Amino acid sequence: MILLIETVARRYVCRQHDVDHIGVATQADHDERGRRIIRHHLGPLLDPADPPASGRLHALTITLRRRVVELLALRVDLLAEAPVIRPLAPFLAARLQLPWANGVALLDDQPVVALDLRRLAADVALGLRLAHIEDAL
Amino acid sequence: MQSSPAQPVSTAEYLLFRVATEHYALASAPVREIMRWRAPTPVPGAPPLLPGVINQRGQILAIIDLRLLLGLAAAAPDRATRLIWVHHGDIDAALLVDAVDDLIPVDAAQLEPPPANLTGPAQRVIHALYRHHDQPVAILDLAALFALVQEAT
Repeated sequence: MILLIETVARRYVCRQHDVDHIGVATQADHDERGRRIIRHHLGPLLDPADPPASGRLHALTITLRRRVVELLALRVDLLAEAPVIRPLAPFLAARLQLPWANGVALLDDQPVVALDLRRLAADVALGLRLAHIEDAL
Repeated sequence: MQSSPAQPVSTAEYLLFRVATEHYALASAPVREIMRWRAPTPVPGAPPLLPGVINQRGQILAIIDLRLLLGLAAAAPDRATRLIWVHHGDIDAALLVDAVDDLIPVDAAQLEPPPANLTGPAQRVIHALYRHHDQPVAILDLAALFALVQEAT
């Protein structure tokens, strides 16, 4: 099953099994097992031109061994018909700073980037960021 | 004395285009289509050289900005900006250029070796020179161009 994630400026897709829970964003610092929750707006994490969303946000929760990563988005929907996700061109995949994008789907004839949210969450938990975030720090 | 048989003339079509103020050409055989510029979908973490992907009649094409690949300054797209869909081996991509000028036949005998003083990316991807209306045109080697794209910075 494929999830469609909407940020302020972009749309992404991901595989549902990469996400452990989808719900309303919370303010909690730790989960019920005492693991620290690392929370980020997905849009600006991926694209400097995508501002943080506001209002009632959805949280995509990815549980790691010692951390929980919550990625905030405007909207998350389960696609009734799973689109075909095609792999990125090898020359493009080889040049990514971090392997967070692993394919492209066509939705309404528009390319939509497919994310590997489990890899993204693991990298975020380790403190890894794309260059536009590093530059802004 | 016997005269040697005439050598066959090897003529191929080349697509002429501009990147900044410089004139370039590609053999037309790998060129699938020329498209107007449209904003691509960016791929998170891709370098500026690869500004995103587009859908062209069901084929997803990654865009390669030739200005940046050739070490020239970036520029905003305008009405003349074009995307050249090329196919090489199992790779399809769209080359971002400032304008497409013409499609011309070129006799292989008219190709000159590239200048010896080329440096940087130009040295890697320019494999010949051609004079078109007294303008030097750099003939690009598509395989070398893709190899350059794939190398990490």
